[in-house]
Formats: sequence, structure tokens, C-alpha cells
Amino acid sequence: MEVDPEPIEAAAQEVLDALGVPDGPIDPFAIAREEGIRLAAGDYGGSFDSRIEYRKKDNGRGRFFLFYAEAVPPWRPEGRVRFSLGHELGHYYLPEHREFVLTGDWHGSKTGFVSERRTEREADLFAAALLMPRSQFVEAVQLRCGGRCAMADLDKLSDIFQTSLTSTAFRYVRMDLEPCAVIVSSEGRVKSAVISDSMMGRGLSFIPHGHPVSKVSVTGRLHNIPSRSAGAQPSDVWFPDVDRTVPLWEEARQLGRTKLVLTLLVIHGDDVDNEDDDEQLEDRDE
Amino acid sequence: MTPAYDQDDEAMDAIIFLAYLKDLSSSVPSVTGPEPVLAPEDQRALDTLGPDLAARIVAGQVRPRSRSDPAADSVAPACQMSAAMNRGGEDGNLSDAAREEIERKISELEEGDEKQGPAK
Repeated sequence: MEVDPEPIEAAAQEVLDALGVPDGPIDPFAIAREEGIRLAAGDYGGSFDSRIEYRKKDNGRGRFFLFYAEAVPPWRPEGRVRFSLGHELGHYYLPEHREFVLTGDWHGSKTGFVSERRTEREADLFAAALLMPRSQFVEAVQLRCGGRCAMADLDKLSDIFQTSLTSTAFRYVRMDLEPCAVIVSSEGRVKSAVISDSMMGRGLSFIPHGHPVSKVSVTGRLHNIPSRSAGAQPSDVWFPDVDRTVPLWEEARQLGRTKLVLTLLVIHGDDVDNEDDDEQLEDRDE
Repeated sequence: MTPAYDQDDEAMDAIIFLAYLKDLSSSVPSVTGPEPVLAPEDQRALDTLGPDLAARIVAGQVRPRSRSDPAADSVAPACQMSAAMNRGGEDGNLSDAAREEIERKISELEEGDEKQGPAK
């Protein structure tokens, strides 16, 4: 199910406006405390990264509890824990989610009928918008990264916002500041892919889950060479069913000590500006 | 001056009290008589609490236990949960260990709150 990111972005911005955006990175722990949510770091044995519950006492008074697994770098980095807290704050602030946590009902439907995938995606979008506020993020891309990002620039942004490289890369692509895509793969198979609107506008619109990673791609060759690599690629390496081939620049990075590989695809060279030419032609035709 | 109807109420209270006094006195154990004899299992249960039990109670070192189902004591929720939402995890289900850890954490937080006094 498609999720409309705009109301979620607006909800996160509303929270930031109400609480005030600090000079440094957003602190989801401080936001939770400000709301009176009880934080409980602990060892939950891999049952979850984070969990929010509402508990009501016999006297009718209730409280939110937020349980989370503590950071254990490099297996569970601080950025991931912060994102998990932002995610749970999404369940706390987004009205439908909050109602569900408070009552166990979802617009009159019992839990079994709630699309868990949709709610989790909404909470992820909220976390990204909360921890990487749109205006600050765009400003950082322009001032610190020259307006467009390579993998090293995404590293810089993840330092600035204290977020994981993966969530930073996803946020960058969804901002659509240039035609680009981010893919997470594992053992030669795509686990998830996010493609910017302007990249989709060029016909490069879909990389399915489970799609095999081409062995000639930079990502496909990463297992034989160092844990990071980059190079030019024709788009049909990733988008074989698309007629028009676009030159891409591909960077791949192994994530920590996992088997996961993060891939960034951007339009390579002069072809970046071709879209403007296309738009001018369309304007002229009109 | 006490109004007349209050005096009547007080008198009625006294009569009612006297009417029940006999029954009350029969149910209140005598503190001057011989100690009641405990059943063997009760005596064993008392012995396990140690000879200094009275001293520890007076010192506030013994907390009363809940009379709820003892089998459920270790994981009984401190309060009622409506629903919960998880992020991550292996299969979305809570392990028994995680459930116990959650209840332990809630108890810790609640105890911390009680020590700090009522929330402002």
C-alpha cells in the first residue's frame, strides 16, 4: 500500500515547531522525556529494536513506555537506536497510531486487520522527518555537499544528523534533490530500493524486492574487492527492462560487519542536465 | 451548641455499637490468653521466614506480597496494556525472556516513581 509522506512530514515538522529545533542533532530521547514517556533501555534478546506500549493502572491513570535495545557498536550503532526511538515517537504522535496503542483498535478494526507494513513504513517516514528535518537537510546538502551527494557526502550528513548511513541515504533519495536511487542488497539479492521521483521520471522506476544483483555491477563485484567501490555503469545493469539506457554512477558500500550492501545510483556526467533539455523541449512543444 | 438531631444520631450510633459489641468481642482474639497453635504446614511456612521476622517487619525490610496467583507473580503485568507496536525483531513475537524483561523494567520505573513521590 502506498503511503502519502506529506502528512507524516507535516506531523514531524509540527512536533519540531512545538518543541523547538536545537542547533545540533535532534535528540529523540529528550523528546520522549519531554512527553513523559518512560524510557527503558534493556536486553530484550532480539525480540525487537524498540517497542511502545501504553499501560493503564487500576486508578485509571496511564503512561507510555518505550523499550529499546541499547547501542552496541558496530552491531547496533547509536544512529540505529536513535532512529528506532524516532520510529516509536511516530507511533506516539501520528493520530491513528496513537489511537491504536491507546485502545488496541484501529478505526474500529482489531489488530489483525491493520496493515503492519503500512504502519511501520509510516513510522519510519516520521522518524526520518523528525531526525533529519527537511529544511536543515536541504541546507546541509547545499552548504556541505555542494548540492549533490556522493557516498562520502552521505557519510557527512549522517555525522551531522547522527543517523545511520542507510536512513540518511533513504532520506536523501526521497528529498529528490537529484535523480538518484538507493538499494540495499544482501548476498546478491535486492532487499529494498528507493528511487527518487526525478529518476522515475526518466523511466528508471522500479527494482523489485529479491531482484538478483548483476554480477557486472559495482555492487555485484564488491565481494571480490574492498568493502567499498565505485564506477560508471549503464542503467540497464539495474533496470534491464527499460529501453533507453542512461549512464549511471554507482557507489557501493558494505554496511558494518553485516552482509548488507548499500548502493547509491546517480545520473552520471552530462546526462544529469538532459532532463532540463527535455523539459525545455516539452515547454517548446506546448 | 449541638443540634438536637445530631444528638439523636449519636445516641442511635451508640445503641447500634452496643448491640454488636458482644459479637465483636467474641471474634477478636485475646492478646492475653495462650498463643494459638499453628497447623504443622503453617508453622513450617513461618519458620522459613526466619526467627528475626518480627524485627525485619518493624524495620521495614519485609514488603507484603501480592495475594495474586503466585505462579504468575514473576511476569504479572504491573498494569493493564492496551496495545503495543514493535520495530525490528526476528519474527515479531516476544520471547518469554523479553516479556519478563519488560515487566521488570516497568516495575523498576514504578518503584523509582514511588520513591520520588507523586508526579507534579
